[in-house]
Amino acid sequence: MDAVWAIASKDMRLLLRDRMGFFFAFFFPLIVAVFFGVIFSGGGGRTARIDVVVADLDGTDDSRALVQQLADDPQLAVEVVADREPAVARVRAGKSTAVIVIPEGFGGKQSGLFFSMGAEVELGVDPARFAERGMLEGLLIKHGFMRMQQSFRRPALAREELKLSRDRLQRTEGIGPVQRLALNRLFDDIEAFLAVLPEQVELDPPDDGPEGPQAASEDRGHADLQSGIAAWQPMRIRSIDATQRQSADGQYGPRPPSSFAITFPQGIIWGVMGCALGFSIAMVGERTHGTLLRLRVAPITPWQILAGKSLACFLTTLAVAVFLIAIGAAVFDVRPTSWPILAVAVVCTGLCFVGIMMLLAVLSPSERSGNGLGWGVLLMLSMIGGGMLPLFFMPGWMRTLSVISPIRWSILAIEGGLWRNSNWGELVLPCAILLAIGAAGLLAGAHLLRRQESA
Amino acid sequence: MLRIRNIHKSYGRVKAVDGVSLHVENGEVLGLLGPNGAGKSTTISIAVGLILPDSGEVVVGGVGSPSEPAVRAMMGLAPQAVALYDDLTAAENLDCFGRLYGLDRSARRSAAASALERVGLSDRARDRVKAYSGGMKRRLNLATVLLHNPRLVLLDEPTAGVDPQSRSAIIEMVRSLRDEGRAVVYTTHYMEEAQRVCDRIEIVDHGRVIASGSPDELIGLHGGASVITIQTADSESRFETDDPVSELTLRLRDPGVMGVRIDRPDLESVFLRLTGRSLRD
Repeated sequence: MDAVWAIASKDMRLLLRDRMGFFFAFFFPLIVAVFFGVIFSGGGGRTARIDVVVADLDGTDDSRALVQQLADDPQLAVEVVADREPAVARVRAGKSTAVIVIPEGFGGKQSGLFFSMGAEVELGVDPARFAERGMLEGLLIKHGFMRMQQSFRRPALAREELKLSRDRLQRTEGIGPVQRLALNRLFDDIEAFLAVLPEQVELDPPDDGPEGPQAASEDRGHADLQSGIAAWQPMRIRSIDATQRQSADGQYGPRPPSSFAITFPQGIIWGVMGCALGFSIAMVGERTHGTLLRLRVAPITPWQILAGKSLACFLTTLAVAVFLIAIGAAVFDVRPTSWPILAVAVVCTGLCFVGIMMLLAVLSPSERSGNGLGWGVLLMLSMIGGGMLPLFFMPGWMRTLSVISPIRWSILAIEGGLWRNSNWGELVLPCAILLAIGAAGLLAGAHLLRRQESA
Repeated sequence: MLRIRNIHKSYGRVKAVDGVSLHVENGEVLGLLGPNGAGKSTTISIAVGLILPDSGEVVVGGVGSPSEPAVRAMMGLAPQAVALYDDLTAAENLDCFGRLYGLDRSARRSAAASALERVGLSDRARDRVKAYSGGMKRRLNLATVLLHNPRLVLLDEPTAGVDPQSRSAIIEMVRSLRDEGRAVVYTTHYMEEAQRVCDRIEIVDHGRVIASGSPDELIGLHGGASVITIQTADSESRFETDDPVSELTLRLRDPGVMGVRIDRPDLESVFLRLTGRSLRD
């Protein structure tokens, strides 16, 4: 055992003497974690908003009302321009995520609520931001429904809309007599409904109270119910916290994750990759510079040599993880939901990358090729495993492919202890996969090394 | 101390070692002399258990094969390439290697101090190896062999690329190892070194031992006659003779002798006569 520890302590001492290697193992991952944590937090604790440029070509009360609604939306950062072309040009140049054009005639099409194609807006989204397209379409539909809601809160307005709808129905050709009759009956029923609403019960939407928009929305719905009008909307959305498991006493776990809780696991992975790469190149260096020969001539077994090398890599990955977790907890308030779960996740990650380190070392004939091969393999695994881009940004086939990447399972396991509040059952699969990859790498590497040396 | 019997080793169609047998006893320096690619290093690698021979036997200390870790504890190898950790100090290198041989802390310290003093590097113990000159690295390379007090020492080209001063120091150290009763195997392609330091020499070429014996025996058997060159004003004459002194005395009676040179046979001429090639080819 002393021989194993002698080799391990020698390797760790050499890492400490290698300033560049030490930097990439310990400090580069911290920089990555903090940098992306700041970016994803919106640079100040606020959620990042979507940059939208709005061109109001209509200039009516209705269009201006829509512009105001969009500007008031906390998910949007709105800039208003007068013309279409400059707005589109901003998106084309990458200065804004999307353009919304309110065309001329928008206000007119708002009328005839109950019988019209509805008002139309133009939406253009930067092709690189396809995720935001869905969000923006949803937001615009939401604003459309909000305008419908307002109609019902103001019976006088709704009656005007109804009158315009009747007129439009009258003028429209091509509607069959049965359908026309049904629509007129519908309008009669709505008119009768609106007739019983007292005019003085004008329910202005209350401001969001101190308990926030969720509670204000609930208050509004309750008031609408009491007045006889349901808060008319096709669907209500109540937010739940999908990141926290409710504990047995009905209370949720620790505070919700910050962006740093998401980026620090990725930082740990970068540190672990740095360790694996550094030690694999060092092992290649031992072979090319002849010091491995000394180890082999010493009265120790090949397995003791491999154990010493593996122990050095493993202990250093643990040190990197502990360092980042400590910084995360002390400075960025990243508190693990379960220390035992996190510890097991980190250990399994370390063992996995020890195996990867061994395999990379054996496959590399020189330090230079080891550097290239190592970075190529690890960056590829990181790309498909969610180490660079979150998995939800990827297309379906790539998310499927990510199952072969140990990065994916490492991040999942570490997040399980850091903020997902995973239980032991949920940790079994990622840890089993990590240990299997590590064992396979170690055995394959050892086998190839013995073949090379006996050749 | 070391007995190698009829070992063979091939790499594909190339026979690196072809039926080599040798032995070395305590208090003796055995030289393996031959050109580059003769099979010297492969023989050494087999002797220390780094390579398994295709056939043949290696026995160390009358105990067993060098493939067993316990047997390797009796041996020390200074490889041809300087195998040291450049970013560690000399003391740290020796401490690391000492631990591999099972020495405890106090034993390592005293052994390291003794080894460094022996190779003349005591005052550079705390310097990192990358700051050493080539000669100093060679000496430290040698020091690592002595840490665990091995009975059998194998030195593979220990003076390659070394300045003359360091070379002399290394040769002196090898002699002292022999005088301490250790068995030493010394490989080199430098004929002069082999003549200076080795008690017996195995001349190796193309994986085979083509001649063996003490330097004087080899020269006497295979070196041929001495050559006397007589230079006169208008000519130069060469005469082979087994008695150069008598021949020279005779030739000096001739008038007009302006210069003489005596070329005695050496291991270079032995190798040339045995193989038709120079050692330096």
